[in-house]
Amino acid sequence: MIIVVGVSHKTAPIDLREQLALSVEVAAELCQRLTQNVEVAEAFVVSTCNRVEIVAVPSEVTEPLACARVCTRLLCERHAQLEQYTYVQVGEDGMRHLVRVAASLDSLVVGEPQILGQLKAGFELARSQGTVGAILHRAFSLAVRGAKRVRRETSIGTGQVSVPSIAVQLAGQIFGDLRGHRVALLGSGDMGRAVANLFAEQGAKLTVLGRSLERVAAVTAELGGEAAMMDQLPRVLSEVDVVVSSTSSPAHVIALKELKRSLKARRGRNLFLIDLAVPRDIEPGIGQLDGVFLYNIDDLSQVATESAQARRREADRATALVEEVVLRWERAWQAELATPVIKALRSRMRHAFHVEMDKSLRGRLKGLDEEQRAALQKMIDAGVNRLLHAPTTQIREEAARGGGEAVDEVLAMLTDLFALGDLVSLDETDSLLPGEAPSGGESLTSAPEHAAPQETAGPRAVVKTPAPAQMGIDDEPNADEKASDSSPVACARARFSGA
Amino acid sequence: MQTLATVSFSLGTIAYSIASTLFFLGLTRRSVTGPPGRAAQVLAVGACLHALHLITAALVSKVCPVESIHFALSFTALVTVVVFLLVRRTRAMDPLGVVVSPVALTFLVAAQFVGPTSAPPELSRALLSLHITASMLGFGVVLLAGAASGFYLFVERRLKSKRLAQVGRLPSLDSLDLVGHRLLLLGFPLLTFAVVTGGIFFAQLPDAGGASFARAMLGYATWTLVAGVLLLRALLGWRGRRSAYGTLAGVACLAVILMVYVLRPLLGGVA
Repeated sequence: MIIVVGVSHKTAPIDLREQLALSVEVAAELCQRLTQNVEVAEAFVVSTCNRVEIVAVPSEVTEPLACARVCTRLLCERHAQLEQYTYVQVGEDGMRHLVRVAASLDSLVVGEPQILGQLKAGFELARSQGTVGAILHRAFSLAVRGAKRVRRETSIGTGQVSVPSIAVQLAGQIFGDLRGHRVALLGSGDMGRAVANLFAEQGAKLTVLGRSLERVAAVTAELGGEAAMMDQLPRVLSEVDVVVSSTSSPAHVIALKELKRSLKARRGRNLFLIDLAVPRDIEPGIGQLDGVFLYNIDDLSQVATESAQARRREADRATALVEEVVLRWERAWQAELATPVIKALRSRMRHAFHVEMDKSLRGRLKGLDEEQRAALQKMIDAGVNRLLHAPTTQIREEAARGGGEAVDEVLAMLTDLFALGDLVSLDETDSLLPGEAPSGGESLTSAPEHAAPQETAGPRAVVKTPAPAQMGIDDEPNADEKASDSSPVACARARFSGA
Repeated sequence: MQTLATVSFSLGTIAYSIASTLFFLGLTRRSVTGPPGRAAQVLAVGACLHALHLITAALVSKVCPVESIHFALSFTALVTVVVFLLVRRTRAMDPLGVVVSPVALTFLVAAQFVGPTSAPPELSRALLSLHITASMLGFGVVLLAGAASGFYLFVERRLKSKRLAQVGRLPSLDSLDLVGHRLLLLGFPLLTFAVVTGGIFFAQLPDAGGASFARAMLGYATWTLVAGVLLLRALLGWRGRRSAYGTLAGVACLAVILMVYVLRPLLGGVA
C-alpha cells in the first residue's frame, strides 16, 4: 500500500509553502526519522517549490492511518498551521496521486517537465539513506514509466506556457539551434532580463544596450555578455539575430526608417524582435518588413494561453493513461496475494515427496549412488512443479484479473485442505510483480538496498481495510480496521492490499 | 526477372504509400507513428525496392534507364528520395517527407503509363544518356529544393501571422533556407550540363517541332531562374522568401518540361 501525505500549491498558499521547502539535508533527515517509527516501513520525500510530500509504505503491523498520522506529524512538525492544508491519499488513491504527480498532471503548470527529475532526486536521496524498500521501488518505477508514457503518447508537454520560454521557442523556430546566435537586450526590465537569461542558457551571445553605463554594467554582471550604449543601436541591429526590448521609454526605441537602413547591411538574414514594453518600444509597422518577425507582449501572452488550453485538453487523455497504470498496479498486488499460499503448497508437496523418498532411499533404493539420488530428487521437484504449474498459473491470472473473493476462497480452501497455515510467511518479499522487471534504461536504481519490513513478533494484523479513499488526517481507526484474523490470506491481504 | 520487377514495383508502391501516411501522421499527430524516424525507414525500404524495380524492369525490357522517359521519370523520383534521405541525416528535415513520399509514389506509378519511346537516330546515344541522367538528377535535387522552399514559405507565413499551430513540428526557417540553397548549388551544375546538351540536341534536329522548342525554352528558363536565385543571393543577399519564390518558379518550369515529355507520345512528338 502507498500512502501520500503532503502540501501543494492546490491546498496551501505560497507563503506557507515557502517555509516548508526542504533542503537536501533536511529531507534526508526526515526520511530517516520517518522510518525510525514502527508505523513506517519505507518512505521518501518530494520537495519542490510547489509541493512537499511524503510517500510512504506502512509497516505490516500497523494500520495505514497510523502511518499517515506519523507522516503528517513529522511533515508539520516545524509549522503547526500547515496541518489544515495537508492532504492524505491512501492505497489506490495514493498510487494514483504518485503517478499523476510524476506525469505533471498535478503541477502548477500542467505538462512541465521538471517534476519527474525532482521526484527522482527525492527517491534517490531516500535510497541513499536506506529508507526505500521493494514496494516503494516497484511503485516508483511504475509511476515513472507511466509518466513517460503520458509524455510520449499525449501532447501534454508540447508548447510553452511562459513568456520567456515562448520567446526562445519562437527564436528556435526561426533560427534553429541558438548556439552562437546573437541577442541584443535593450533596457533592464525584469521580463526582458528573464528572456535574455533564457537565451544565454541556450548558448546565445548577449549584448546589453542602455542609456546608463551603470545599469548596463549591472545587467551584464548578472547575465554576462557585452555592454554597449544605445547610440550603437543601428550597428547592433545589423549584426544581431534577436532583439529583446524592455525599456521604459515613452517613445519608440526602434523606428521603421532606422531599421530599414540596418536591414540593408543584414543581407537578408532573418531578424526576430521581441517587444516586451508597454508602451511599445518597437514601431508596429516593422513587423511587415520582409525577413523581420515582431512579437509584442500581447502576442506572447496569447501563445501562452493557447498552449495552456491545449495542455489542459491533453490532460484528459493523460488521466486515462494514469488510470491504466493504477489498475495495473492494483492487479499486480492482487496477484501477489496468492504467492505465500502457492509457495506453501509447493513446499508441502515437496516435503511429502521427500519424506517418502528418504524412506525408500533407506530401504529398497539404498543401493543408489549419489548421482542417482540427486537425479531422483530432481525428478520429484520437477514433478511437483509440473503438477502445480497449471493450477497456480490460473490462480495468479485470476487474481491479476481482479478475481478478489473467488481467489480468496480458493486460497482458503487450499490452505485448509493441505494444512498450510503454519507454512505461510509474511516475509514473501523475494517475488516480483508479474511483468514488473524494470526495463533497460529506465531502471532508477539497482536492487533496493533496504530490505522489506521486518516481521515482528505479535499477532498478525488486519483482516479488512475499507476501499481506498481520501481520508482526513483526524480519522480514528475504526473497529473494523483492528485485526484479529490470522489466516494466511488475510495476512497476505493485510500485507499488500489497498483495495 | 519479370516477376521480380512486378513484385518490387508493387512492394515499392506499398512502401511509399505507408511512408507518405506516416510522414503525414507524424506532422499532424505526435503519438501515432511510433519511434522517430520510422517513416524515413519505410521510405528507405521503398527506395530500395524502387531501385530494384528500375534495374529489373530495364533488364527485362532491354532498355537503358537513362535512354527512356519511361525510366527517367521513375529515376527522378528515386533521386529525390535518396537525396532527401541523405539530407535528413544532418538536418531535421523529416516534414519534407510529406512532399517527397507522395511525389515518389506518383512518379513511380505514373511512369508505368508512359510508353517507351525511341530516340531519333541523329542524336548520339551516349550523349543522350548523359543528358537524361543529368536532367533527372538535377530535376530530383531541384524538386527537393522546391519542397524546402514551399515549407519555408508556409512556416514564414505562419510566424508572420502569429498562427503557430503545427509550426513547432516543422524545421526552422534558417534550416529550410540553407537546405534549399545547398540543394540548388548541387543541382545547378547538373542542370547546366542538361541545358547545354539539350541545346546541342535541339540544334541537331533538323525538323524539331513546337514541343521540342517549348522544352528547350523552358529548360533555359529554369536554368536562368536557378542561376538568378543563386546569383542574387550571393550578390545582394536575396535569401529567405525571395529565394523560395525563385526556386518554386524553377520547379514549376521543370514540372512543365516533364509534362511535355510525358505527354509527347500522345501529341505525336519527337525527341
